[in-house]
Amino acid sequence: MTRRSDDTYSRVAAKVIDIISSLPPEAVIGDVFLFGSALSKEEPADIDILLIIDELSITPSTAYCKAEPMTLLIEAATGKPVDLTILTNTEEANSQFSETVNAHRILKRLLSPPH
Amino acid sequence: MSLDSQLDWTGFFMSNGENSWGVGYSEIMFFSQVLHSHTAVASFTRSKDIVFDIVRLANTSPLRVLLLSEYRLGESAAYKALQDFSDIQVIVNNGNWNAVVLNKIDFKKQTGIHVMEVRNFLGALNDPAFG
Repeated sequence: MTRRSDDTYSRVAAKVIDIISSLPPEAVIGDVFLFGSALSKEEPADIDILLIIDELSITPSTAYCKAEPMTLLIEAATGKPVDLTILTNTEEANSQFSETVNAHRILKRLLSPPH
Repeated sequence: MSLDSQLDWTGFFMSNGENSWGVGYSEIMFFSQVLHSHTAVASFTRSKDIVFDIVRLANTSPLRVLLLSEYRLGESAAYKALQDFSDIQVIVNNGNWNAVVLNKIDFKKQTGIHVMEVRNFLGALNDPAFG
């Protein structure tokens, strides 16, 4: 997985990166990845975001609720719906979803590596 | 009475409602048609756009099933589904490229809810003990 420089992202993707980068640490509960058409298209139908959480730090049953402020902020700023996928680091390690969809990590938050 | 509550078992008299889970109308229709042709299904109705109440043939209990279409259905999404739809028994994830990635056995033990892909669900419908 290689992170591209910001000037090769779409404007929508660059805006999402700016928003997430400006959030306080407590507002972002895991590693944030962008994937899908929002990476390259200027008018994507939605914004696909993958959030990988450390299940030792974040209870999966509360993850969507805790991620909602981030999601709402992105939707308000871009005018596009966010399609959020949340996986635990174990689920990501087993499924390799980020590699499957060539997701681009735009923020690293996990305290421990996937196991 | 809403349109959804008037649906008949054929699955064709269905409103094109909306759901907050991004499940498309074509996916709902696909699932409806598969249920319609399933030999273990006596009838079904749909509500809340993506909840199916399925009555099976003799000696099997009815099922309340939530249809989702998640790229990867993990534990977090499954718990959110239970928060949004508290009275379901089965979560089915549709889509050829989609997958269930949570530990199904652990989740069933913790919540009593089955989580599975469509193809596995269609097989499970034949099992009288399933549900």
